[in-house]
Amino acid sequence: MRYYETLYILNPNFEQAQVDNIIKEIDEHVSKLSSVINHRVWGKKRLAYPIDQHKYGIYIILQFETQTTSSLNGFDDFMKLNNSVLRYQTVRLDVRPQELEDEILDDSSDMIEELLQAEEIQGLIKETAQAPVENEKEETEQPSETVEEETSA
Amino acid sequence: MAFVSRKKFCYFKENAITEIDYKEVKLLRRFVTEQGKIMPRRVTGTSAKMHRKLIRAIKRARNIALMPYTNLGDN
Repeated sequence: MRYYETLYILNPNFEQAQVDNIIKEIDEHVSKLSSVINHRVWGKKRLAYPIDQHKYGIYIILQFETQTTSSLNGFDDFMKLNNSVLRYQTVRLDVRPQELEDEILDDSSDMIEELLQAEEIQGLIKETAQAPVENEKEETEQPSETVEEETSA
Repeated sequence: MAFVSRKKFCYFKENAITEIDYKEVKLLRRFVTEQGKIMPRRVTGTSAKMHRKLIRAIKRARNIALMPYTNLGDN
Protein backbone atom coordinates (compact mmCIF):
# COMPACT_ATOMS: atom_id res chain seq x y z
CA MET A 1 0.00 0.00 0.00
CA ARG A 2 1.34 3.37 -0.99
CA TYR A 3 0.26 6.75 0.21
CA TYR A 4 0.02 9.83 -1.90
CA GLU A 5 -0.78 13.44 -1.42
CA THR A 6 -2.11 15.72 -4.09
CA LEU A 7 -2.23 19.44 -3.60
CA TYR A 8 -4.25 21.21 -6.25
CA ILE A 9 -5.30 24.76 -6.93
CA LEU A 10 -8.77 25.74 -8.07
CA ASN A 11 -9.91 28.88 -9.80
CA PRO A 12 -10.37 31.53 -7.08
CA ASN A 13 -13.53 32.92 -8.66
CA PHE A 14 -15.54 29.80 -7.93
CA GLU A 15 -18.48 29.89 -5.58
CA GLN A 16 -18.55 27.56 -2.63
CA ALA A 17 -21.07 25.32 -4.39
CA GLN A 18 -18.85 24.99 -7.43
CA VAL A 19 -15.87 24.13 -5.28
CA ASP A 20 -17.87 21.47 -3.47
CA ASN A 21 -18.94 20.03 -6.79
CA ILE A 22 -15.40 19.71 -8.07
CA ILE A 23 -14.18 18.20 -4.83
CA LYS A 24 -16.96 15.67 -5.02
CA GLU A 25 -16.15 14.89 -8.63
CA ILE A 26 -12.48 14.33 -7.88
CA ASP A 27 -13.35 12.36 -4.78
CA GLU A 28 -15.49 9.98 -6.79
CA HIS A 29 -12.80 9.54 -9.39
CA VAL A 30 -10.13 8.72 -6.84
CA SER A 31 -12.41 6.39 -4.92
CA LYS A 32 -12.77 4.10 -7.93
CA LEU A 33 -9.31 2.60 -7.65
CA SER A 34 -8.04 3.81 -4.31
CA SER A 35 -9.34 4.98 -0.97
CA VAL A 36 -9.37 8.58 0.14
CA ILE A 37 -7.90 9.34 3.56
CA ASN A 38 -8.21 13.11 3.71
CA HIS A 39 -9.74 15.57 1.33
CA ARG A 40 -10.18 19.11 2.48
CA VAL A 41 -9.83 22.75 1.63
CA TRP A 42 -6.61 24.36 2.78
CA GLY A 43 -7.86 27.83 2.04
CA LYS A 44 -7.69 30.64 -0.44
CA LYS A 45 -4.12 31.77 -0.74
CA ARG A 46 -2.13 34.25 -2.69
CA LEU A 47 -0.04 32.54 -5.34
CA ALA A 48 3.69 33.15 -5.31
CA TYR A 49 3.43 33.90 -9.02
CA PRO A 50 0.40 34.30 -11.27
CA ILE A 51 -0.98 31.20 -12.95
CA ASP A 52 -3.22 31.87 -15.96
CA GLN A 53 -3.37 35.47 -14.75
CA HIS A 54 -4.88 34.48 -11.42
CA LYS A 55 -3.27 36.01 -8.37
CA TYR A 56 -5.11 33.86 -5.85
CA GLY A 57 -6.06 30.24 -5.73
CA ILE A 58 -8.08 27.84 -3.63
CA TYR A 59 -5.73 25.18 -2.30
CA ILE A 60 -7.15 21.74 -1.68
CA ILE A 61 -5.30 18.80 -0.18
CA LEU A 62 -6.14 15.24 -1.09
CA GLN A 63 -4.47 12.31 0.61
CA PHE A 64 -5.16 8.78 -0.53
CA GLU A 65 -3.78 5.29 -0.55
CA THR A 66 -3.66 2.89 -3.44
CA GLN A 67 -2.29 -0.49 -4.35
CA THR A 68 -2.38 -0.25 -8.10
CA THR A 69 0.11 2.40 -9.06
CA SER A 70 -1.26 2.33 -12.59
CA SER A 71 -4.33 4.14 -11.28
CA LEU A 72 -2.11 7.17 -10.77
CA ASN A 73 -1.72 7.61 -14.49
CA GLY A 74 -5.46 7.76 -14.88
CA PHE A 75 -5.68 10.26 -12.08
CA ASP A 76 -2.95 12.34 -13.64
CA ASP A 77 -4.82 12.54 -16.95
CA PHE A 78 -8.04 13.31 -15.17
CA MET A 79 -6.49 16.25 -13.33
CA LYS A 80 -4.73 17.50 -16.43
CA LEU A 81 -7.96 17.60 -18.40
CA ASN A 82 -9.91 19.23 -15.59
CA ASN A 83 -10.11 22.87 -16.60
CA SER A 84 -11.03 24.19 -13.18
CA VAL A 85 -7.75 22.90 -11.71
CA LEU A 86 -5.09 25.51 -12.22
CA ARG A 87 -2.27 23.31 -11.03
CA TYR A 88 -1.79 20.07 -9.15
CA GLN A 89 1.09 18.13 -7.71
CA THR A 90 1.12 14.57 -6.47
CA VAL A 91 3.74 13.53 -3.97
CA ARG A 92 4.39 10.15 -2.45
CA LEU A 93 4.26 9.96 1.35
CA ASP A 94 6.46 7.65 3.38
CA VAL A 95 4.01 7.12 6.19
CA ARG A 96 0.26 6.92 6.34
CA PRO A 97 -1.13 10.40 6.96
CA GLN A 98 -3.33 10.91 9.96
CA GLU A 99 -7.00 11.35 9.36
CA LEU A 100 -7.91 14.85 10.32
CA GLU A 101 -11.16 16.61 11.07
CA ASP A 102 -12.20 19.33 8.69
CA GLU A 103 -10.13 22.41 8.08
CA ILE A 104 -7.98 22.69 11.15
CA LEU A 105 -4.64 22.79 9.32
CA ASP A 106 -2.39 25.73 8.74
CA ASP A 107 -1.58 26.44 12.38
CA SER A 108 1.11 23.80 12.68
CA SER A 109 3.46 26.17 10.92
CA ASP A 110 2.79 29.00 13.36
CA MET A 111 4.61 27.25 16.15
CA ILE A 112 7.58 26.72 13.93
CA GLU A 113 7.56 30.36 12.99
CA GLU A 114 7.83 31.46 16.58
CA LEU A 115 10.79 29.19 16.96
CA LEU A 116 12.27 30.62 13.84
CA GLN A 117 11.85 34.22 14.81
CA ALA A 118 13.76 33.71 18.01
CA GLU A 119 16.59 31.96 16.26
CA GLU A 120 16.61 34.10 13.22
CA ILE A 121 17.77 37.03 15.27
CA GLN A 122 20.76 35.10 16.48
CA GLY A 123 21.32 33.12 13.34
CA LEU A 124 21.18 34.04 9.73
CA ILE A 125 20.27 37.67 10.17
CA LYS A 126 23.51 38.23 11.98
CA GLU A 127 25.40 36.61 9.22
CA THR A 128 23.92 38.91 6.64
CA ALA A 129 24.44 41.80 9.03
CA GLN A 130 28.14 41.25 8.66
CA ALA A 131 27.85 42.12 5.02
CA PRO A 132 28.92 45.72 4.34
CA VAL A 133 25.54 46.94 3.06
CA GLU A 134 23.71 46.03 6.23
CA ASN A 135 26.42 47.46 8.39
CA GLU A 136 26.11 50.85 6.81
CA LYS A 137 22.42 50.93 7.58
CA GLU A 138 22.89 49.99 11.17
CA GLU A 139 25.71 52.36 11.76
CA THR A 140 23.79 55.30 10.43
CA GLU A 141 20.92 54.55 12.76
CA GLN A 142 22.65 53.84 16.03
CA PRO A 143 26.37 53.61 15.54
CA SER A 144 27.65 53.00 19.06
CA GLU A 145 25.01 50.58 20.30
CA THR A 146 24.93 48.15 17.42
CA VAL A 147 28.66 47.75 17.33
CA GLU A 148 28.75 46.95 20.99
CA GLU A 149 26.02 44.40 20.65
CA GLU A 150 27.70 42.60 17.84
CA THR A 151 31.05 42.33 19.46
CA SER A 152 29.68 41.27 22.81
CA ALA A 153 27.47 38.61 21.25
CA MET B 1 35.32 46.34 12.64
CA ALA B 2 35.76 43.24 14.69
CA PHE B 3 34.93 40.09 12.83
CA VAL B 4 33.17 37.69 15.17
CA SER B 5 33.40 34.08 14.10
CA ARG B 6 30.30 32.07 14.79
CA LYS B 7 29.85 28.34 14.98
CA LYS B 8 27.62 27.08 12.21
CA PHE B 9 25.02 24.49 13.02
CA CYS B 10 22.44 22.50 11.14
CA TYR B 11 19.04 23.94 11.96
CA PHE B 12 17.31 20.61 11.39
CA LYS B 13 19.67 18.60 13.54
CA GLU B 14 19.39 21.09 16.39
CA ASN B 15 15.63 20.84 16.31
CA ALA B 16 15.53 17.11 15.58
CA ILE B 17 13.64 17.52 12.34
CA THR B 18 14.09 14.57 10.01
CA GLU B 19 11.53 15.23 7.31
CA ILE B 20 10.74 18.51 5.60
CA ASP B 21 7.24 19.14 4.33
CA TYR B 22 6.96 21.33 1.26
CA LYS B 23 3.81 22.90 2.67
CA GLU B 24 5.66 24.57 5.55
CA VAL B 25 6.50 27.66 3.62
CA LYS B 26 7.42 29.68 6.68
CA LEU B 27 10.17 27.22 7.45
CA LEU B 28 11.41 27.01 3.88
CA ARG B 29 11.49 30.76 3.42
CA ARG B 30 14.27 30.90 5.97
CA PHE B 31 16.59 29.03 3.63
CA VAL B 32 15.96 31.18 0.62
CA THR B 33 17.38 34.59 -0.27
CA GLU B 34 15.22 37.63 -0.83
CA GLN B 35 15.39 36.93 -4.52
CA GLY B 36 14.02 33.46 -3.92
CA LYS B 37 17.26 31.60 -4.52
CA ILE B 38 18.13 28.61 -2.38
CA MET B 39 20.93 29.56 0.00
CA PRO B 40 24.13 27.53 -0.19
CA ARG B 41 25.06 25.10 2.52
CA ARG B 42 28.15 27.11 3.39
CA VAL B 43 25.89 29.96 4.42
CA THR B 44 23.13 28.11 6.25
CA GLY B 45 25.26 25.39 7.80
CA THR B 46 22.67 22.74 6.98
CA SER B 47 23.93 19.17 6.92
CA ALA B 48 24.30 17.58 3.52
CA LYS B 49 21.53 15.11 4.12
CA MET B 50 19.02 17.69 5.21
CA HIS B 51 20.07 20.09 2.50
CA ARG B 52 19.07 17.56 -0.13
CA LYS B 53 15.68 17.20 1.49
CA LEU B 54 15.38 20.93 1.83
CA ILE B 55 16.06 21.45 -1.85
CA ARG B 56 13.41 18.95 -2.81
CA ALA B 57 10.87 20.61 -0.54
CA ILE B 58 11.61 24.09 -1.89
CA LYS B 59 11.30 22.94 -5.47
CA ARG B 60 8.00 21.28 -4.75
CA ALA B 61 6.73 24.40 -3.07
CA ARG B 62 7.76 26.43 -6.10
CA ASN B 63 5.96 24.13 -8.47
CA ILE B 64 2.65 24.54 -6.67
CA ALA B 65 3.06 28.33 -6.34
CA LEU B 66 3.61 28.39 -2.60
CA MET B 67 7.04 29.92 -3.15
CA PRO B 68 8.37 32.08 -5.95
CA TYR B 69 10.90 30.88 -8.49
CA THR B 70 12.23 34.41 -8.51
CA ASN B 71 11.39 37.71 -6.89
CA LEU B 72 12.85 39.98 -9.51
CA GLY B 73 10.99 42.65 -11.39
CA ASP B 74 7.42 41.42 -10.98
CA ASN B 75 4.77 42.32 -8.40
